[in-house]
Amino acid sequence: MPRVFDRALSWDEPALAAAWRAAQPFPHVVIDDFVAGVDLVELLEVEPVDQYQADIYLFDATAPEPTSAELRDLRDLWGATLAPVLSRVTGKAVTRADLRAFAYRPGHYLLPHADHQDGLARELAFAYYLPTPEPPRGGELELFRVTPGATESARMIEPVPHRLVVFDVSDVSLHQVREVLGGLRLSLAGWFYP
Amino acid sequence: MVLSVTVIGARTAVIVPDAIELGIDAKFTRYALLDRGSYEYADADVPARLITLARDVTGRALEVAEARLLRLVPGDYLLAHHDRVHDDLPIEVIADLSPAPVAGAEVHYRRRGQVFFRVRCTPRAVSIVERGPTVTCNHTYVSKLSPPDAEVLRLVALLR
Repeated sequence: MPRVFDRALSWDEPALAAAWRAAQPFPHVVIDDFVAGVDLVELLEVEPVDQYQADIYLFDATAPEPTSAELRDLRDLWGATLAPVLSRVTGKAVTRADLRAFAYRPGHYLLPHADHQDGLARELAFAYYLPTPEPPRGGELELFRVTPGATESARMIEPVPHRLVVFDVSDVSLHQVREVLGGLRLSLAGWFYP
Repeated sequence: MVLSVTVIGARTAVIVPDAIELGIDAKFTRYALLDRGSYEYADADVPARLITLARDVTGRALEVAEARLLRLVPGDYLLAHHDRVHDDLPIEVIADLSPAPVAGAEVHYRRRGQVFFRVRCTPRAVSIVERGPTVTCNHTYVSKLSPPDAEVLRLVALLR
């Protein structure tokens, strides 16, 4: 399992920190070719997936708390390995992560929202895209710029396999997963906490 | 004919099919705060027969307090936290003026977050729902997999 995160240990942290600070419309970094060559999809096959629906989303996902030892181990290792690196890159002191697997099929979406909620202490959000048999059409992560009286699209991030996106959690970190129009979009996503 | 009635406690939620047909000539404005909703809206007059229908169904002496037209196309929605609760018990009337049914485009009424009444997009149907301090409403996301010319048009009126 530790081999999964080898690449995180060799990141150019000063360059990532500069990218984080310069990113618009709010701090974020996009890291490609992360965890290349490791079959996390196989790891997830033991974890039950259910459909989740509310006014703001429709998708299939694992439960908020993993039920299998495999996914719990992955979550714990994910947090333990990445939190120190991301603390240095982002300037936010994080120590642990939660993590769920998401499957967006045609017609699935997550509408614009900010992840910040009082009392939850989410500091950083992440999404890591997995390869799928049929790459998704749509399903981009869209970031919005919030201005008084309006929100406007500012950046579109394609769900490319082995791409890791980390972004700031705040009242203005408005984002959405655009509706998947075809194929399958698989990801691991969650938050880092102090 | 009443298609569907849900009574929870003393509260009523009703759908009346084939209740109204209206021509619409309105100038719509797009709502731009996407974490609350994506849709177009316009001022609206409420036809007298819609008020009469609401009075007949509820048995209450109702008058229009506010009204507007909503237009949703693929990609549009109104979230529950864009709605507001009411301290009194007004009646919300929605006339579906859509040119054709749009699959998956529904109005959901929620009590303490849980959906207790669903109104599918059914042209000419009217829903009549008692609101209150714990009831919110959202208009579900209209899929981009719908036909490109899909259009959901609703006259939403609050009566007291």
